[in-house]
Amino acid sequence: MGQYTENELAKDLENQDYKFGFVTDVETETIPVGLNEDIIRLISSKKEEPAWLLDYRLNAYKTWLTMSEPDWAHVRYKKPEFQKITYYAAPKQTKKYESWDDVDPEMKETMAKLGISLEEQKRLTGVAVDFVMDSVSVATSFKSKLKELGIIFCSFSEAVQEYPELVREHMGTIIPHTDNFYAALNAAVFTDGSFCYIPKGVRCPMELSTYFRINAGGTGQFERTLVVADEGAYVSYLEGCTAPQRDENQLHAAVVELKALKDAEIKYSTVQNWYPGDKNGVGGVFNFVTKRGLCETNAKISWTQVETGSAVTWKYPSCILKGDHSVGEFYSVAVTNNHQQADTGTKMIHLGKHTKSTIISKGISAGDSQNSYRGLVQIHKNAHKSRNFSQCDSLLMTDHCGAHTFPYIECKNPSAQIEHEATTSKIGEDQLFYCKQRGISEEKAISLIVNGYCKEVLNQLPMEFAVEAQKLLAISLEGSVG
Amino acid sequence: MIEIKNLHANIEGKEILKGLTLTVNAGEVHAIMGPNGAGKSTLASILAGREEYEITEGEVTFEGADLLDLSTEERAHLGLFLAFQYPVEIPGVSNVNFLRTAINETREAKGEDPISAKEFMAMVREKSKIVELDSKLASRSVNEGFSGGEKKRNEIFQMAMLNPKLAVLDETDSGLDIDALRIVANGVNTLKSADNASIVITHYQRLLDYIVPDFVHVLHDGKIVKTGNKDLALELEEKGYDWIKEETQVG
Amino acid sequence: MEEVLTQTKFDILRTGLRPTALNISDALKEKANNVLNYSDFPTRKNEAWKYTNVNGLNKLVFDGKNIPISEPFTIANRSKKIHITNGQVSEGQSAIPGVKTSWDVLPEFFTDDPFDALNALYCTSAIQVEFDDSENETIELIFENTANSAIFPRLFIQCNKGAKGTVILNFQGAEQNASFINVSTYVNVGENANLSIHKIQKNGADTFDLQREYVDQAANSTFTMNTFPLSGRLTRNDLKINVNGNNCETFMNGAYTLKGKSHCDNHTTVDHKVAHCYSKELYKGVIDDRATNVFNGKVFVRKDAQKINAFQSNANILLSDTGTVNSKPELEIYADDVKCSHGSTTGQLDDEAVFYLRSRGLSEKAAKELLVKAFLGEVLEEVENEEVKSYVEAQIEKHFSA
Ligand SMILES: Nc1ncnc2c1ncn2[C@@H]1O[C@H](COP(=O)(O)OP(=O)(O)OP(=O)(O)O)[C@@H](O)[C@H]1O
Ligand SMILES: [Mg+2]
Repeated sequence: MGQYTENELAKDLENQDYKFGFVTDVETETIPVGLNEDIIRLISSKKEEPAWLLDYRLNAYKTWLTMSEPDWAHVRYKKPEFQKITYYAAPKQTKKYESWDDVDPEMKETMAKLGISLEEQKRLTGVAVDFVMDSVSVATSFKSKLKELGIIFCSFSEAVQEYPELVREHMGTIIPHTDNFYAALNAAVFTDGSFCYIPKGVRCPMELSTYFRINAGGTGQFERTLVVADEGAYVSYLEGCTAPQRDENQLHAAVVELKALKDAEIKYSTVQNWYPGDKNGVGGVFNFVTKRGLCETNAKISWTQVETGSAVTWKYPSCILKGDHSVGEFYSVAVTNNHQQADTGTKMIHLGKHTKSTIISKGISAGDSQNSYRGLVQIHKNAHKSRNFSQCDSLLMTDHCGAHTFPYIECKNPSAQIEHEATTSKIGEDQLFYCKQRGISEEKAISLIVNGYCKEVLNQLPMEFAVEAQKLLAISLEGSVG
Repeated sequence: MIEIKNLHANIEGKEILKGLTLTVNAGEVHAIMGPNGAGKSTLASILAGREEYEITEGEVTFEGADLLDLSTEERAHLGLFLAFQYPVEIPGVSNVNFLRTAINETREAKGEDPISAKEFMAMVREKSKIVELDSKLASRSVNEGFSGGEKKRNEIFQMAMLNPKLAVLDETDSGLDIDALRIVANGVNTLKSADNASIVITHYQRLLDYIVPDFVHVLHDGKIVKTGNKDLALELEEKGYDWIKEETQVG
Repeated sequence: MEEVLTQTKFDILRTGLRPTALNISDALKEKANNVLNYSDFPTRKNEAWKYTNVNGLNKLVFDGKNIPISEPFTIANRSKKIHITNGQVSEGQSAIPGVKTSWDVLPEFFTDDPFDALNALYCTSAIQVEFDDSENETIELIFENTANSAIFPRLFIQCNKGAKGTVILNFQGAEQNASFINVSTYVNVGENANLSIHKIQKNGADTFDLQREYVDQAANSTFTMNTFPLSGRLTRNDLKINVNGNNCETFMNGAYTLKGKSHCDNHTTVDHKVAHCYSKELYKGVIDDRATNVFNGKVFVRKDAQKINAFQSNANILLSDTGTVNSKPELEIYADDVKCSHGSTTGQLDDEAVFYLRSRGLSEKAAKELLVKAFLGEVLEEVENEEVKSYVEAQIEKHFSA
């Protein structure tokens, strides 16, 4: 048969590299490996932090020491050795770039390779970008334009220096350092991240975007993002991630806090494409992230994520629907291939009356991967007339991967309406045949069908992100049907 | 155009086609009729390259190529089109996107450049008129939530867009109301030319009033047991299949 | 080495229990003791007991006080019946072929579940029911609790190759009864066999009823488990079905009506270990007052268990401000050519429908009752045994007219 068999295809793709697996050759400033109070003091002093923040860190560190790693997720991995990680790595001479020209050319090249050349972005899309390489934020564009509107969008470190009161007021209020093992670790050692504040009644006119990248070897990335939308404000925030290809497992333990005050709306989109490890499961990023948003009255938070990367993912972007009539949404596509493991989902905590949540999760498992949806819908006593709708679908591409669904539904209010549906099946043979009959190759057909299957989620992404996400899906699934 | 010789095929160990022979030349319309379960859809599926069937004997030449040696999409690239008896739904994939991918994949296979967006949209507009397909349907997901009749019309719309050499229409008339039947038939007739051909599988003589066949074949028990002109269809309509079944048993 | 806990809640519970009078082997005794020595009552941290707290067990007093059942009931008229009163097989019943109630020594096998260990060590009666015939026979076990007692029945249900059988497990106690019922049931469904078990749990308002069923299904067999927790302080059912052979069918149905302070917890697991099987699960219930319902349904499809169709559904109607519904349907799938789905809904009666019925002249109460019955009716439709069905229907009727 003259057919290009799946096996041949798989072989061809086996050697296909992770597109973002390059290392940027910039001089990096690091501190000694390991973790103790002195390291934390060192990080804090390097960042010239106020005393309250150092205290916050030390406090978190003490808490962390008493905690143990969570083990309830449906993932298996060798626990990171926390004393072998470097907790601070910064591209040298990062001190405040006065202008775009001051930025290290190597770094610019990195950004170009990532497809996020700032210049391009500026010109074409009007997206404001903050770029966090390793632990330090290197460039934020469009700052002045945003400033006119009173919007603050800067690196977390800068925010600590420039707007300490705002940071102090909100940081850790949604995810306390006691929340979980990785949140505690992050609170102790976080080095940078993004900060965003949209003042009352302001609609942020452009998408704000941060690109995270781990570059240096042996480091962990612990960034912190805090987005506050004041009353009636609106912002759409994008986050993208990549990392070089390394044999070791790198740790990424981020914390993202969103606060949507009365009538505010935050749309938070992530395309997560950390290095997933090679086809034998060697290397790759451990992505242990805590993300949570709080909605006051009539506010709305919408999480959209496309997860294709990381060796192990543990992540549940959540919404606390505290205010009456607040709305939480979670749209997720999680693709796992080879030996990737993902345990991801959301928590919707309904506290206020007439609160509404929607969960759309599309899992796609290929290779030897394990892909789990884990979610909690909790309706509290006073959450009258609250609604939840969840749809969790899993698509299986091979007979040696796994797809799992673990929803928790807890209801204490009789006027609430909760609907959860889940399906698991294989990619439709009939659909594949139909496409092929129309002249579409198997690989294109899979990509087409999978993209269609994820449409509801991809539709939530801003245009340019959606295109990137579709490409990523195609790359992640190449040669995956078995 | 296509030459099917002594085709035998099994599914799950059961023989469905038992020595089927049929030749279709350019410019011809062939109708295939036959009782339920005779193997009509099986023939269509095998021509299109569905892998569940095992071909145990026979050969098929299409446009000079050994059809059975080609993959499904290669057959499509050569200009073979199957209008499915049960068109499948593909949620989230818009008709337009689907067709553009199909056209470009075919063009790529032929070493041609992809179709420009403008040209493509113009074509969509032109061809959807032929089957009087609501333009809204073109932007909806492939067949998703389409009524039975809309699905069938969409098949003909796709056929118009892909402009095949040989179209196999598997019961495209079933489930159509009178108007839709006329529209679909009209579509098929409009697309008819001296360089292409079609095989129309149907149960009803009615369709053949609109699409006048050059030949009518009766498929029974995995073989073509009788061939005639359009009058044969009328005779079948009147007398059913029993007399043919008897005839073949005697033979 | 794990440390032996100083005094566990199990230790406290055990002080009030009388060790089994039946012969159990030293090996079984040791195993069971081992499990209990290293266990304590499960807590929230234990995933399988996240929503169910059994601490109240230690408040029960097994004083043996006589509390007669006002309306004792049997379900299947023409069935063979065995009466088990306060845990003891009643004397003077005529021998039923295929049923064994006396043992030289109890069968060994058991799990590492501490409540199963407890059941073995304090077993009050062990009954084996064996079906050997393709004639569908019905055997009803009637557990009458007429005193505050702790009972530990151990059941072995065997449906041999090609045989057909129906078992009705009829648990009943007076409204005021405060007993501890702890049942371990081992079920073996042979090749081509067809077994149905119907379990009715109509317990006293303060009774704790913890039951486990361990089921093994061989090729081409059909197994149905229908569970009706109708009353009780705490009811916990753990149903674990291993589908070990190809072409099996498995049905699990449950209907519950909870009010007062009752807490009901149904945990089910169907483990598809091999290919070409079908399973369907439907649990529905109505929760009123301060009652809580917990549902946890697990579907496993193991590697290479292709062509599995598994469906699972849990629906709840919450009628009161103080009730709670916890639902956790789970799918764990390791094979690709499968069709599995689950659904879970929690809500109230459809206002529109209530309005519609009232506009046709029904009182609000009658309208709601009708809708609730229709809601539960979907489960009852799955019940083939007419006698069980009509009994449960009547109970539901009674529940809402009270
Ligand atoms: N996947 C399959 N497995 C088993 N038998 C099959 C399969 N597909 C088709 N068959 C059998 O092959 C025979 C021919 O089927 P086919 O669909 O080709 O009939 P048909 O002539 O198109 O009938 P109809 O007029 O009803 O559309 C039937 O007996 C059918 O049951
Ligand atoms: Mg057919």
